[in-house]
Amino acid sequence: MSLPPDRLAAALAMAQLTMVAPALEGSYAGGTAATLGLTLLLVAQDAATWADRQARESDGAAALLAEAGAAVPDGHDARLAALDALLAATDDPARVRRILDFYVAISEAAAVTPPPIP
Amino acid sequence: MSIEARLETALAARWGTPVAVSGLRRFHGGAARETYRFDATAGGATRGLVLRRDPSSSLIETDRRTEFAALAAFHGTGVPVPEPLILDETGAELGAPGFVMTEIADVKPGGVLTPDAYAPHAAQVGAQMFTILGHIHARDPAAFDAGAPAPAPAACWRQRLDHWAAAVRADAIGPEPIFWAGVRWLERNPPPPPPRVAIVHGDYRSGNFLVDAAGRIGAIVDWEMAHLGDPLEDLAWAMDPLWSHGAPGRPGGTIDEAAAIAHWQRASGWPLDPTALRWWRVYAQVMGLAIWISSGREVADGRSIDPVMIFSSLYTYRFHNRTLAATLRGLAA
Repeated sequence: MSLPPDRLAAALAMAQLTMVAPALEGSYAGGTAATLGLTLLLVAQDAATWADRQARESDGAAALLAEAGAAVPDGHDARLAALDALLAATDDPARVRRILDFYVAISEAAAVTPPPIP
Repeated sequence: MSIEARLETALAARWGTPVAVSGLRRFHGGAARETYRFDATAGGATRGLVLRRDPSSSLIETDRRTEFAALAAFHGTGVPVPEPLILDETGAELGAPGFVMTEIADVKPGGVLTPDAYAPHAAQVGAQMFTILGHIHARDPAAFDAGAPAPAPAACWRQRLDHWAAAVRADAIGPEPIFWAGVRWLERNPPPPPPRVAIVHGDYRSGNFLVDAAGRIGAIVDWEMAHLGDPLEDLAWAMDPLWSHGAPGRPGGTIDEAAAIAHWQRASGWPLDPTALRWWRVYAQVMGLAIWISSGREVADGRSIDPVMIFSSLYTYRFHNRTLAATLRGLAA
């Protein structure tokens, strides 16, 4: 079995940050290599939870749409677009808060954290 | 033709004497422009200069004339900026549209991911940061050739919001429900207008000023989004948590927000309406999201492989998605 994408990205990030970037330090290429390494670290974080988050976002949107009596389309993006339309149209404060709670939850779950740069 | 040869030709035409260019080196970062420093020698004297020119793809769609005009509006005033020297709007001289300005020596930006980037001079840097911002807003708007008529004060917010909404309509690669929820809140809660319009830097924040080893701000840079509008746009963007170096409530990781506002008010003479500032702080997150969404589109379409654009489409996009969702939830409480 090969390494999963998150582990591969993390390994590539470490190679970039510890082998390539220091060798090019002080140059445009060195800064570029460091930024690529940092971004790969974030990609590794993201890849570890991507599929699970997509499923939870899709299911959560579907539940909110169904609760409001709205049609529930197939697919993650279609459901989020439908939820956006529901939020735009509703004037029910409780429903607004529930949808915003959902947005807070999915955006917090999707956050990626770079290491501090000394 | 090499960049050096282009610069030698352009500078010789301006200065009326042969010019030798050496030491050309590109800076990392600043995805809105390719930025190079170099030495120009003419008549036995050498000056450090900087070339900024358009990349094939950019984080922000801007007009290089705007940045040049903004530098011209502030050069020689109390606002520290490089002297603008050559503007090439077509790219005929510089190889791509861009401009040449003087180099401010021995200064550097604070890394936006570096905690305490301005230590041990953080308080001094913060005071300067917001005092200079006040001076920018105190400047007569007539000094800046914005290339477009000044909006009426009451129209400032609508003009800016429409600009970014249009960008996201054009560039989004998927649903952006948090962005649009933010736009709707802003439209339903318009801010009180400013007393008049001001020169707005458009991207005033940590990372866009250069500091020397003693903690003195030597230059305000990256004026490509300068425009005429409500000065609270700049104040809100400067105080956005994205630019706080991991210390929310301390812009640039320097001083607290109350002190920052006090410095700005003293230097600008502008009133501060808390309702208006609240609106512009929500707007700042919407604007940020729009910029990061557009950078993602550039990457997705293969027009850019600039790592800053890639990073922005991931980290900063997620950052503002998260803060805007939390802000909107708080406003709905």
